[in-house]
Amino acid sequence: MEEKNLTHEESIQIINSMILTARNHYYENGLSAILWGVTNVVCFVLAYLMSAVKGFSFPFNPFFLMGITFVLQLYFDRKERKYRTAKTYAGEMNKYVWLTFGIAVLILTIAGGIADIGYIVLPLLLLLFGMPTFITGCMNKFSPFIIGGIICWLLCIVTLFHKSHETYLLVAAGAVAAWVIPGFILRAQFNKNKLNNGV
Amino acid sequence: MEFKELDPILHSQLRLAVMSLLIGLREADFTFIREKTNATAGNLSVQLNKLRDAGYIEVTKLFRDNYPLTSCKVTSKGIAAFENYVQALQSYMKPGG
Repeated sequence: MEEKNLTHEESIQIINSMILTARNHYYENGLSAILWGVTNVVCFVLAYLMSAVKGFSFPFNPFFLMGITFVLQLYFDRKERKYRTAKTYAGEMNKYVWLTFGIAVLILTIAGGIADIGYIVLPLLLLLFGMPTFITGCMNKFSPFIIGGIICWLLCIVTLFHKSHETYLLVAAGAVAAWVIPGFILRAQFNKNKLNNGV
Repeated sequence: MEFKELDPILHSQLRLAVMSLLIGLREADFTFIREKTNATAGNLSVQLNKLRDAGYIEVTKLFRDNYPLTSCKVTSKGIAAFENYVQALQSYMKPGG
């Protein structure tokens, strides 16, 4: 960009173009969505098998796998940090939305488990799954997340009326819709952009 | 109608581009700003220093993985100056103004 005398029109043009550039900046490689989505699918399918299939056993509570995913997430976050060259207000808001979701899920599953609230945990989980996914989709204008969030809420309604072992599979389906599919779409977009930018 | 004076610090192509970019972001690295404004590293560095000296942006220099990292964010003084600049610009653009 060269220095020259600016006309008022040029000034307005620069302001508009740069504000648009900042607004459209969305760095997301889809890895987190895939990682958490797949972990949830594995956990809930294992939980289904343990409850529905006689003789099926797993050496530990499958939900402990979330701990491994959490460590992997920290590792990937650290690795990706150098590529996150700008922080947006929407990105900052996203972070707090997902932190709130994580805390809510922990309270529901741990306290709910101790209080033995039973089956109702599963529809509530689907309700929670939908919230941050839908908000993230709306904030970043990314329709797969919006659709994923809505599917979670529809599955929540179904699970409220349909109590069976298969409910675990419906929660797994919610994770596929909310995170696995959008995650792979984000990943594909990210790789395409990377290729176009010659990185 | 009275015309407001345009802030000479902001009335420059690259400095205005940097401020317009930073106003919509929480913070941005030097490489990001350079990429989006198509500026050369040397020129950008000079203009960032001018904005910092005017108190419009805050520049933080860190080391990440043994590489220097310069991060910039707009200050409240910078936001006020930018808003004044846009208002002044609008006064020039008004029909009959």
